[in-house]
Amino acid sequence: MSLNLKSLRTRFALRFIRALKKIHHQEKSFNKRYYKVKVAADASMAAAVGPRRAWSRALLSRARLGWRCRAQSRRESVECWRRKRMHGHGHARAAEGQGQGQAQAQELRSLVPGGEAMDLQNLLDETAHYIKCLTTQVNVMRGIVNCCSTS
Amino acid sequence: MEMNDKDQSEVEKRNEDPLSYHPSDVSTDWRYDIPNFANSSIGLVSTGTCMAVCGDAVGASCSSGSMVDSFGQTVWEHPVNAAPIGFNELNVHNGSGVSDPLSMLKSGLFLQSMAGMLPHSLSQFPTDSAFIERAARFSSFSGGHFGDMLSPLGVHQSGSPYSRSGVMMQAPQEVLSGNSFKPVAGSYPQKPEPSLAETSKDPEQGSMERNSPKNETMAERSHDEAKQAVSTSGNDSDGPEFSGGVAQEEGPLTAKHAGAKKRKRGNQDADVEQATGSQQQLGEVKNSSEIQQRGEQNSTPSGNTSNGKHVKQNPQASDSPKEEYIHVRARRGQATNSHSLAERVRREKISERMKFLQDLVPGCSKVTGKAVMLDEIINYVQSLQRQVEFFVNETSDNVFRSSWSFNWSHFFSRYSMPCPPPLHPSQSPILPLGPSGTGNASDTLRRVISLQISNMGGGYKESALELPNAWDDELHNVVQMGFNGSATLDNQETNCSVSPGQMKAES
Repeated sequence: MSLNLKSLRTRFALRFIRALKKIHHQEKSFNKRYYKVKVAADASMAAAVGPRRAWSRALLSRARLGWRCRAQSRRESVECWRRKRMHGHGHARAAEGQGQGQAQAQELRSLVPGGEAMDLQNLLDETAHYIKCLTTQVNVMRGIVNCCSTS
Repeated sequence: MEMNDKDQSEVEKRNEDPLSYHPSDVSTDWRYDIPNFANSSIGLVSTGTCMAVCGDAVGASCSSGSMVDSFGQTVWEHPVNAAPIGFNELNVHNGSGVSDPLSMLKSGLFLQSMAGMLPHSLSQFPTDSAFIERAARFSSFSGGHFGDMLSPLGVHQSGSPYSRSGVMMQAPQEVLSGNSFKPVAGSYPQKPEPSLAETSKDPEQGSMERNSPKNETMAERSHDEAKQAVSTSGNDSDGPEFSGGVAQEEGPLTAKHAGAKKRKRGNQDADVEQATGSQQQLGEVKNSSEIQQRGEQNSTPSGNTSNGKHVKQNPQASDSPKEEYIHVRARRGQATNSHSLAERVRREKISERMKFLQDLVPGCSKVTGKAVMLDEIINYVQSLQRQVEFFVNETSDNVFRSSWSFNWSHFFSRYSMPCPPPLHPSQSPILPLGPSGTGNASDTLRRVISLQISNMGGGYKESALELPNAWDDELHNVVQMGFNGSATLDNQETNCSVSPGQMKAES
């Protein structure tokens, strides 16, 4: 019985703990630490997942570019993607719009990182993977907090 | 396996009867859909179980049981490659009254098996002596006028749809449990068979009347319930979910397909429909009524379109069964332009994914409808994000409180192993990590860090290798990874954490 180094959980835990260490050494102010921990959580999750998922790519670019730059580039990229996709899936989009849950689809797009430029099918795929990774993240972080609180 | 194929083809040849069945069209259409199946996630599910079911169901039926059994085994083992060949053989050698429905059933079922479904209907062969009569009647028909035949069939079958649907309820759970599919096959209702026979017999001629609508309605309802049962069973993976769902839907699917097909214009291929419909069925219960209505509306003006097109019929054709009895529509079906086809495919895929998400999100088994389901998903994602937020708060509060008093070994032990074995005392100075927890937690950590820094490279690794303890070795590797290398990772995260901080400072 040993750590499965390939599992998402281990990869994320490693990166996150490393980031925590770094933050612990570098930052002393609480506000900044909170912000950095948050970014570290997202970035380590996305890095553990890798670039094979749209949402992880979006998160990684978000972390790399910084929040402000990301907003700009994201808007541009999203519009570019949207234009391309509308050509190809114009009918699909129209159908989706007519179908039930168009508002919910939009909300889901806003929740899942990188989901703005996705059609519903891919969006649901990404959502499923995102949910799985979120649960992993929550479990790992809960473990860390529990460990720290007990020891 | 190859020999079995030959044997079966021979047997079928012997029993061959002339039929108006057009295998070429069917096979063409069927082959068209095969790549889709091959690419689908449910393509090659449970071939072993399929074999078991096929063998069990068919073996009990008639003399050709063994042939079907071996054939099924052959076919299922090479679903993608052998499928076209096997199917062609099936089409070419349409048998007599008894074996004909079997072969047609096989052909229909074979397509469905591509999606990993079970030939449930096969189990019904032995039980119904009237079925043989019907089969004989079917074989004598050149096509087209199945109306008179169908009504007695409908009457015959209408009696026991409830019991069958009740039996069907248990089927998905058994399927999902991943056990042999024999009980499923055995418990499956009988009604799909004649529909299959009819549909496979008459792929081109749309003037077939529908089978008993009641049966299909019951099948739909039981199918719905079965689907609920499937979702409640809580399978996460697509595979079992699909196979189970597909398994359930086999019977009602074929029945619906039969009915829908009869209403179709002659260009619909029964098997293709079943094949595609089976895949569509997985999520389409809620959308079926609307699609069906749309289909019915489109049917009359659509007229005859190309025969080669695979219009994906809405298999749940229980909307207007009575109408069909009153006036037979020669051409019926959905719109066949490519746009609506693509739309339908898309919708099916989306419903597939919705089903998968339904299993992921806890407590969504009873939710039906896209909007409600999406709401649930959104709520769940939001709750997860809130939890992450909470734990980030907790981390920034607690973890940094004490001077990183974090017993890493403790953490890893708790995380990966319930009780890691104790370190060898002679090696404790080399590697302070371990459950024995020599010294302070922070001291341990500092020691580890210093050791890492000082013993970079081979020396440290050698000492690590000396450890007899596998767990310590693993942990050591993990910590080494964490401390040592992938400075790139550290940099990345540093950049992540620094840049926002800098930006904040600037603002």
